[in-house]
Amino acid sequence: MKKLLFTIMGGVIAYSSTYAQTLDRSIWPKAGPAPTVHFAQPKIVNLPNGITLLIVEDHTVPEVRMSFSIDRGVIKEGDKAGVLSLMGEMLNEGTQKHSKAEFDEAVEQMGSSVNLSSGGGNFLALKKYTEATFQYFVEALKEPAFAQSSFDKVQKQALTALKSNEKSAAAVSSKAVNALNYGKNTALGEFETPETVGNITLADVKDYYKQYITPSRSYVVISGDISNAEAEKMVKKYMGDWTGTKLTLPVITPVSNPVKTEVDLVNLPNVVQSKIVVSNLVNMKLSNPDYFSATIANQILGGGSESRLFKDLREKKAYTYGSYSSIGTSREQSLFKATAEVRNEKTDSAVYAIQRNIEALRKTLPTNEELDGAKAIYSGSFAIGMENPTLGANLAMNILKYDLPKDFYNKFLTNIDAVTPQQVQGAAQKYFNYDQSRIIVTGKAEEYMPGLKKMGYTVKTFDTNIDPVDLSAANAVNTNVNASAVVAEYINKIGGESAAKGLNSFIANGEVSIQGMTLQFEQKAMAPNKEYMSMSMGGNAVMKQVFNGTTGYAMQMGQKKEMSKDEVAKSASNKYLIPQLSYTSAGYTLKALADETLDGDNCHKIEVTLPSGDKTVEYYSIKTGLLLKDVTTTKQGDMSVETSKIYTNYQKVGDVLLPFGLKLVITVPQGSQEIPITIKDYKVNSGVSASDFD
Amino acid sequence: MNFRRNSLGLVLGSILLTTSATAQKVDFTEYNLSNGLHVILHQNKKAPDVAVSVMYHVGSKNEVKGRTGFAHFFEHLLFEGTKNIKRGEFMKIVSNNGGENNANTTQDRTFYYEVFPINKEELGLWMESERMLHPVINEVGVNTQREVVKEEKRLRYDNSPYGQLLVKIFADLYTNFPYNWTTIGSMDDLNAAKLSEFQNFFKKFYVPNNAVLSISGDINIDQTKQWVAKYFETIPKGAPITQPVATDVPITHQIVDTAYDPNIQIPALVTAYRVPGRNTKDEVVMDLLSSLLSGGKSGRLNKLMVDEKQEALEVTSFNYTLESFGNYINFALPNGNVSLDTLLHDMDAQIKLLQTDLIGEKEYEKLINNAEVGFLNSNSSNLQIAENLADGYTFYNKNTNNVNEQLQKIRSVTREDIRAAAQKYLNPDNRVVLYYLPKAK
Repeated sequence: MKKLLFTIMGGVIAYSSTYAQTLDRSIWPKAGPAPTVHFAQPKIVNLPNGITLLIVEDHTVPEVRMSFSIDRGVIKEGDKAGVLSLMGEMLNEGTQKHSKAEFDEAVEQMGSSVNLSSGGGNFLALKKYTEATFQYFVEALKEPAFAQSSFDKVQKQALTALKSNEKSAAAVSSKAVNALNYGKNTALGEFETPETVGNITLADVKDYYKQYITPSRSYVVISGDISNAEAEKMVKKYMGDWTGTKLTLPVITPVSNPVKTEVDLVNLPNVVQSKIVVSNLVNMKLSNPDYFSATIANQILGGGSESRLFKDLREKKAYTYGSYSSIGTSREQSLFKATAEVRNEKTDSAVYAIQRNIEALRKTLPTNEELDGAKAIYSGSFAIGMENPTLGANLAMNILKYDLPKDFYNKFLTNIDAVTPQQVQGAAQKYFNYDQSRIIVTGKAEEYMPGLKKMGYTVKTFDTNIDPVDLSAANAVNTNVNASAVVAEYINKIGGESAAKGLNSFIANGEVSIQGMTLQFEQKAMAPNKEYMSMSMGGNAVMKQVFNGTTGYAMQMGQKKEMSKDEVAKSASNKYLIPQLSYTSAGYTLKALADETLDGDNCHKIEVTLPSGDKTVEYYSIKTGLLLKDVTTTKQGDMSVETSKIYTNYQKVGDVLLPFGLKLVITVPQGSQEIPITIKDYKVNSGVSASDFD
Repeated sequence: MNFRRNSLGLVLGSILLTTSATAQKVDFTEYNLSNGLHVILHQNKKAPDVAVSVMYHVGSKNEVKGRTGFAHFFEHLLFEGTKNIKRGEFMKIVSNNGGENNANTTQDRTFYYEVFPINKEELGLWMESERMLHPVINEVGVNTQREVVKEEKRLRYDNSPYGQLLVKIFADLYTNFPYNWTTIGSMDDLNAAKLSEFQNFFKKFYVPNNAVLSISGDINIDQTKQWVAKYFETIPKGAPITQPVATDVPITHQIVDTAYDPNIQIPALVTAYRVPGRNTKDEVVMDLLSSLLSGGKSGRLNKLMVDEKQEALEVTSFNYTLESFGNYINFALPNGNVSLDTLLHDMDAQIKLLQTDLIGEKEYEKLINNAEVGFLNSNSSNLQIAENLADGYTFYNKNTNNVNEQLQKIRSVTREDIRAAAQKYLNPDNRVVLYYLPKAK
């Protein structure tokens, strides 16, 4: 073999050096045939307790990687959605033998890293610490501490994370897409809410642990500088006698695509950019013979920046920064999705454009150039991705898990290369629905609902909990409530009109907590419209906003931004420190909307339109009459920023009631941040001078 | 020493050592073309791809005062196109062929690369040879890239919090040596430079005898040699290049400086020491020392100043090693109104401790373990291997095999070496103390 190769190479050498004499540099070198992938075949050992052990020896680097995964399928968690993920977190919180700090220190001492989750876990260790690291891993898996204090911490973190995603178009859209396609009360469609996470107890975590952390249907994949025999011996020693609940794969009942394409609008009024997902259910197991043609069809439609959706929606029409498509592969049903984030006013046009692109790929053959480009990009990224050291072993596990031909991944690129234009069109027709899709749009529904209805679609509307909602009712005037009376009652409750008008200035001092740091908060105001607010650390202002009546600026981390003309006009229009005193003046309109509940308090919801045309929504407690929250939305470039102020702990200062608790919630499409402020002290009508606002 | 009792252990131990020493060995073939281009080939059958890279031994230290920023400017300019690659096509060819590409510049060298599926290896070689032989350097390209580089400078230096910090440190640490400025250079210099100056800079430094072509991937060595010959052999050799000699006015007393940055609110305290550069034993010692002070969650400075005393928001310590000198830098941000001098005092106290007491056996072992993991992970991709091989040849006295000696170098550092290096280099009369303060607007 070696000799033969040498002879062949000899031929090439002779030929090439002749060739070098007459090299025409303007001719690009031709590509050779697409490479085949050659993974080492793992050694496979089946343990009686259900563990399948796969070992790939790789002695190039003296490290060992291990991954453990339990093939439990998709589990319905119901009213405790989130319990599996909390259980996984708890496996990283120390063991019965070692506190979390001791555990982490011991692992770091070896230079190792260990992670666990509800589906298993993994580690990376130097060769010489493989067994010691494996022992720590197994200890965490088999003897978790499950301390109540850790659980409280982990649960709180989960709730905070949910909260910060509440108004993120991406997060709401992703749960909506699953809930609407699979059904909200199914294993594939359910999602975590503050309620379901709040329902979870440590006892639930223990139950799920007992049920799902088990050797049954599990895979241990070991790759690296370890012999087959050593790896087998080690796994048998620490996991061989481990027993646990026997798992059977849950059966997921298939669901159907809609009979006719429908538009599902998920209302998230705070965003200026909507998230569009055109979706349909597919059956796309890895073993599906159409897998390769569907993959290439998707690449041509929306796989990357050379694909049709990107070229059309971004480069040609400039609706969006990016538009892509994807096709999921799974043992269960999965989804084809074509997506774009689009500014509100172009949302209906973008939906139309996505649908046209899907239709075009179903109707006509792709060009050879497109096909070759797609194959090149796909096979290129696939080939480079193979450098990932754990990939080989994990693919070997996929072969077993999904019952694939043994040479599935070795022939992957050859199969990609063999896809024909006809197969691409066929796959598009079969898997990329056009007239049986769910077009799920998350954002400010009212802005594009009429446009989408005009396109002839059935339009359904949902709230952020993905429950059907009648949007026309939410925005209708609530005739049962007199908006002016609600505002008047508020002024009355804080001390009456004359006391409120008598408030000429105040200074508030307090503390604000941001990302675990405590900062000093100071606010000054002077009638009619001078404002000053700063948050500082050790005397250095981290954030500052000043308005002196005619000009103003905001400063954050040293970046100073002058107020725009509009912002100046808005601030200058204030006449009183209690803005509600102006609401009876000309130019203001008030509208009562449907009542809402805020943290258990029933509220009247009043929409105030300012003379500038800007709107503020205010929530007044029905019980106390006090203002509990106001919400304003402003645009910064292409992004909408929603600022909510939540007022609590009203106390009498001088002649008026002022809130000692103030929480700012700033929401942008990427997520939200809460800034809780505690006022320690107010000083009214003294100590403030005009020069404070320069 | 009792040989008899330990002989079995010793024998086993040495076998183990041999195994692990050979286990991660990076085999390579290297040779020179007649034009002086040094070629390094590493066959790695792990993945069906290949990293094709060229390391030019030119960085900002090859520039002269009044014409700074050239090497980095070429990092941009050499994507503009060649005689056979139309303007704007370079990156498109790469992506349409399933590849990735980029380049980066340091004070010492510029590194250009493509990663392609293996069947595009020849294409990658052709592209790099095009770039070396006849890139288009004209007014259009120079003017375009000048604007791009200005944007980059605004983004990464002028408008970026702490963006001027390293610029200031290097200006203070060096008097005559061309580490006095950093890679981005001066926009005035770039504006003032004539087209012919750029063309001359290219002719001088971007020549085969000042470059290493380093290839790592699923290659056939003989075939690759043929392609290398085909595309690179005819590129003309340049005049010999002399690298700057590593000398500068010694630092003899503590330099205290203050700088102001309009982009920050929280001040920073920096101490920076001039230490040995690449290809010295102390390079590795200083690396370990930085890991001791600020590696992971349990680094000494982090543990003391961030967790226990809560006087710093962040503290970090790193060894910025360059070819001619190394630069050991400590950096801390105060928490609340803690004064910068408190931070300085506590940082210095930790260094004093290192100069006085040997570190514990256990802590030493942790350092070595983490250094080994870090080192092993630094050789995990073809691109990294190609760069590490080229680094060895370029900076370790033409010792391409440096990549295989690195682990041994780490292991050979003793606790005493760490103490000795701290004593020798981390002294006030060998450093700059920089108070980096917010600038009021």
